Amino acid sequence: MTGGTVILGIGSPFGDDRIGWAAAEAIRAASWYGALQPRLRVVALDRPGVGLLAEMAHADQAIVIDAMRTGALPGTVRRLVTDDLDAPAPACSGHDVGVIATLHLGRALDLLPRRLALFGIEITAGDAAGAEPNFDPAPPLRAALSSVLALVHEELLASG
Amino acid sequence: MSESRTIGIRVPALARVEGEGALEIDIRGGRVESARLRIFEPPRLFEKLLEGRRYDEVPDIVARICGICPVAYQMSAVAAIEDAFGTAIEPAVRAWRRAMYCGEWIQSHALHVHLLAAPDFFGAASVLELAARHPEAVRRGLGLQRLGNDLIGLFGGRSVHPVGVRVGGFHRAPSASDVAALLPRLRAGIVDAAELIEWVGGFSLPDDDQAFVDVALRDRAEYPMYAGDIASGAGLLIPASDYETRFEEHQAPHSTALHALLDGTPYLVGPLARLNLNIDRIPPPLRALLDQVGLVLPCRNMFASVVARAAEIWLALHEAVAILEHHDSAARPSVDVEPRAGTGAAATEAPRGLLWHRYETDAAGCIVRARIVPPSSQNQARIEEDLKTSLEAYGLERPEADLRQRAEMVVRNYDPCISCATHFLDLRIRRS
Repeated sequence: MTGGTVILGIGSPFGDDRIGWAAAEAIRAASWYGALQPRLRVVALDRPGVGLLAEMAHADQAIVIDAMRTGALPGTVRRLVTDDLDAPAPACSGHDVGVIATLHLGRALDLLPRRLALFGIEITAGDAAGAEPNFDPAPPLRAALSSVLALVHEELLASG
Repeated sequence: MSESRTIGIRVPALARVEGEGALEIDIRGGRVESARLRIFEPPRLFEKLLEGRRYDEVPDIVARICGICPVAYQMSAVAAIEDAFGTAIEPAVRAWRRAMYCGEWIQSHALHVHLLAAPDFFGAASVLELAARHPEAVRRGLGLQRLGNDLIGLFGGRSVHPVGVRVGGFHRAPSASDVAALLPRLRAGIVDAAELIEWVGGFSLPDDDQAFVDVALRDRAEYPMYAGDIASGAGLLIPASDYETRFEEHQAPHSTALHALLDGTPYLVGPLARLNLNIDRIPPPLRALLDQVGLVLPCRNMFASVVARAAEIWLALHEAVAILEHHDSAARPSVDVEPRAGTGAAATEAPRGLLWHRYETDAAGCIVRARIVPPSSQNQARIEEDLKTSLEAYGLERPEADLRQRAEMVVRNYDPCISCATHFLDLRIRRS
């Protein structure tokens, strides 16, 4: 699809790190989702690394949703655009090239859509976060999904 | 005469390898006293997780072992289970599995070459710095990675619910129109891959020839990916079912991983080992490209692994085109599977090297016991041996920062996939 908007829920099978997938599911089930078809696509991705750039190529707008770790209260939701972010330390591994590093790389290579917003959902602190495969995200994160939905909807309406 | 220097080099978090790993090197009296690669791997978690699962759940579970090479894990798994059940797959399915594997080689190698290896050769700390100086090369690399992912996607994709491969075949056949859409992109990719070989062929590689034993599959007619017997540079040639008679795993005292040894010695798996043992299977146009950049096979310099990976990207694209040009979308995607109690084993060539699976099944087709030997743990003993040899040859009197950089590059040559850590956005926010 050329143009339009793509929403990318990023995650991995491990506990809190599934929250991006849960957000993608919730958006597809949202009451307003159907009315925005066919110019809105929602994709859930497992540890895409720099493959994220290919997923947002050709779109006018991309919204990325992922678990984040900033030290805020679990379930805190934050909206960011790439200009808000410091470049991180050099990437540690191919699939640990997280979303932030990937977006910086995309910007350096002129591969990003015109409009891009990133929603981070704060994970549970400590070892509990994402320790087990195939466990659901912790309650504070699941509770944050309704705010995420509202923020994403606002983002979509603002871009017209 | 070298000084009696005592240095401890600690690299607590290795940069630009997959997952997390740490390095400890002790230098004393002009020698490398020890080199230990510490691995933080969920110890045997997945082998245990598979016990009690039905055979048809296995592909989805093992696909989650590695975020970078899920296809490899699925391939070795279904081949081993089919061996246990005596299930014979169709020739079309065999070809599709090979083509899907091509996709994973392309995306994994492209990722490694551009994000992990190349920065070192330009004095760049990361691909971000490299992109500022050589945006065209990095864009080309990302394009190849995307092409590899799309080739995998032809057969089932890498979404959060990886589908595609199943015991007995595939869930569905790729459509003629999807194949037709991809073919021109694959052909164009071969041109990019040739340019890539030329680019990496111009890297200034350290001269670091060493003696080591190559281990890879050896197939009747093809460059090995999905099938073949296990061969070594010392004349070994055994079926996958005999792996445990010659290869043994020992618990390394300093890590959770197991060191694998062939007849008691370390060995190399991966692209350079594959090329070295399959010189006669390299397509002539690729031989010509490698001759042009001066890669002489067999090659004993691990720094040439970056060229080996570029070569295998070319080869995988060439293979995929050859297979898909004869695609039959009407071919049966799978055969009926009759589970039975038994034991099966299989080895396939993951991007990083030989990946061996063994399963014991019960009459209902549930897994009783699983053994999975990844390529990166098979290379661990070799990496530690390499570090000693390489750093001593490099010169232990050099500044510590230089020794550290060389040590990291030595490890990166092996493209080790150390763990599949979870990931979170690690955010630092600038407020204005």
